[in-house]
Amino acid sequence: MARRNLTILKRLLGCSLASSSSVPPAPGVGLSLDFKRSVTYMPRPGDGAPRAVTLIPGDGIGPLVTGAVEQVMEAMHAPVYFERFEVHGDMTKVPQEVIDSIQKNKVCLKGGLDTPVGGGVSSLNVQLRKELDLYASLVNCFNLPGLPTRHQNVDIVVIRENTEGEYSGLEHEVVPGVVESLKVITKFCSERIAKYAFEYAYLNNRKKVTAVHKANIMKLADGLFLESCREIATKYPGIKYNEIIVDNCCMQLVSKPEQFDVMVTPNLYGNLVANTAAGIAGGTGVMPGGNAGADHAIFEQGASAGNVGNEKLVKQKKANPVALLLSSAMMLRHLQFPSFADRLETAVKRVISEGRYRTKDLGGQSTTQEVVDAVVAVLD
Amino acid sequence: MASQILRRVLRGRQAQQISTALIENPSSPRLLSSPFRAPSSAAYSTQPIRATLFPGDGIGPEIAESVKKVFAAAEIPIEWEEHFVGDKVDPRTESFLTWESLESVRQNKVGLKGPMATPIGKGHRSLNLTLRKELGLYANVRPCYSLPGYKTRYDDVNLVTIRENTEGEYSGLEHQVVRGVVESLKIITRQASLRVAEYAFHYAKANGRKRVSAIHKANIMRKTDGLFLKCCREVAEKYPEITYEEVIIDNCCMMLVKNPALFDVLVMPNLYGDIISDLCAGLVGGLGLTPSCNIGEGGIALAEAVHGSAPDIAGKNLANPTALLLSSVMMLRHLGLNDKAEQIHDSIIKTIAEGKYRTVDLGGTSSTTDFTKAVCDNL
Repeated sequence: MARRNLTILKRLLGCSLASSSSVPPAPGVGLSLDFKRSVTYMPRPGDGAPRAVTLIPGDGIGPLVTGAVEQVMEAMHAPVYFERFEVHGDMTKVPQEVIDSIQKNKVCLKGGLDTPVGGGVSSLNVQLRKELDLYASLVNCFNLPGLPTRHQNVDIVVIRENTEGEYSGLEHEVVPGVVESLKVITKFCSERIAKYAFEYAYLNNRKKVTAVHKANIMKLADGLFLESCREIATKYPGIKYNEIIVDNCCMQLVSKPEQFDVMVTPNLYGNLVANTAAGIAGGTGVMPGGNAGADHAIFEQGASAGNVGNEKLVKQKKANPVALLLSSAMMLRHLQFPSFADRLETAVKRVISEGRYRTKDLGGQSTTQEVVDAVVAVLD
Repeated sequence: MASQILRRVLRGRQAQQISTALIENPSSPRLLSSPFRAPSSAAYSTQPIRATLFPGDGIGPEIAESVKKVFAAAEIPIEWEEHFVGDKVDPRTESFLTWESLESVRQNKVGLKGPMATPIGKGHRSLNLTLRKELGLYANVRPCYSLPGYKTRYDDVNLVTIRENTEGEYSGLEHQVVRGVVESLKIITRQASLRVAEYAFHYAKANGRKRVSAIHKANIMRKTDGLFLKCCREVAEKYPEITYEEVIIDNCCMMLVKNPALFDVLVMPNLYGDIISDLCAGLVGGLGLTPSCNIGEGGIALAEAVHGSAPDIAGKNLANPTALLLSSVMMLRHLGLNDKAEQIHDSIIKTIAEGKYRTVDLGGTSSTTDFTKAVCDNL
């Protein structure tokens, strides 16, 4: 019964894809609906032992979406178990036990943490990243098959430097009425983020890396960033490298997003570009992402806008769990469980493309629980 | 000699009267009647208003010609005072713009500027920076609205971005601390933030706009953007009829690309303003169609076309004069000549909507002169 539906679905989608776009669909679109075992993965003995993953539900819609992930992991019998820790945005600093747990487990899954605006508390998200030295933030923005958007053929990965730049948090009032904020760029951090970006491109068969900057105005700061990127680019002759000014970049993103592949940016521009790219490709509710460091990784909803949601969403329980589900698939691959990751991604993409269970931000009316049930039902 | 001095003094006083009106109204559906309309059309029918014109480089002279032709056809009482960028650095201004050019803008209070390319090299300031610093241009106003007839992915854009233009991240204060570590200063002052917030609310009120949104990142940059927000809140209290809201910049970017109809007037510090105004220009069709106006101390308004000088199509009669024409409409509205501004604006919209005369960048095959002639005919 399921297989007949699947072939009918494929035929329908094949027709709609062929008629709507004159360019070939994004890579992996056709494959993701037709589940084949795409991995021939030979594990080491003992790899199947359950791994501990720190889970931080967070604020707002966080507990809702992390609950969704837990349910799906249970249904798949994935070899992960979660150690829950409560962290809320109004705490002054991240509890030491949470940091210890992440350092032990090396991997963490997290919902959004609310940062009070203009208040005295520094953002806990930023604190976590600095403590654990998670210097690369990654957001994968791509068109989901079956989800209509204004822009087609979007497949962008935004890699953003996560520790310094404008978010150094070094501000002071010079005299009353005049405030200064320091933007710090170091060669060390710029080099390692450029290395990560090129390595990511190399390992994932990406063809082009674009550096986003504003070096025509901030000549020394962004100039240093660009220098580091250029140096690393020479070491990867097979990958094309180019540079684009950030305001032009945003303009191109809304008019011709297909020209971008991997983008590497300093901290603030990365925030803007990632949210813009997520917006054009389907919204921040569906884009996966994570933060990676040399020793640890934290997976969360990719783009930061709306990861806490608002009160209405929480009350009505209509938050979109897709972003966190896809991020947890990334986490499963990171933990070297590729088959579970494939199954999860296929199920989620199938639910989205069928279109019956979609939350409000995708144009539907379903609650979080309905989407989760649909994903569990479609799991192979 | 005495009569010349007398004439110049009289003209100066008239120019001051116009600039204190400070009414700008670039969006046609929200036209307000200017209190200066009746006297302006009567008093200035014989007395032309002097305005400075910087044709600029590349395609600049061609599109400036376009503007002059359209203005002549519409019988606008403007007398252009053209100034060109020199080829020697003027020591008084440390740039290629001469002191006389700047003085002329200061005196006339209005100007129109085409695209200028700063020559590469040291020893002089960039041309835009010179204009900004010398004339004290503190706010950059860019109305972005979907042009009916030119279809983009977004059809319902109707917003105005107002960007603080003097400080913020673009203060240019950078230094190398030790090898491999660079610091750049972002400066926010109460004075500049209050000034731009005042202008934003004044603009919103004068143009019938209902909502002003301040864009910030004060959850991370607590003191700097926090100060900016405080100033905006203070000014908002003085205008209770206008809704005021604050939006974090990453939320703003996402909402702009998903649903730009949510926004009305946006006021922002320098860097965010740069990025967001270019993003909005991209939503409506690119820099070739976007008007812009810089407001300076003492009521100076310098309208400009924000696109580049396009040296590859210079002199070939292919350039699109729409941006400069729409900016000149903004200039006219600032001067209070609203009926003439409306006339030219409607004519441009009609020409583009008809689709018969479109320049190459919009997908057509017309030349600059053909397009200009079509606009003149549609007046």
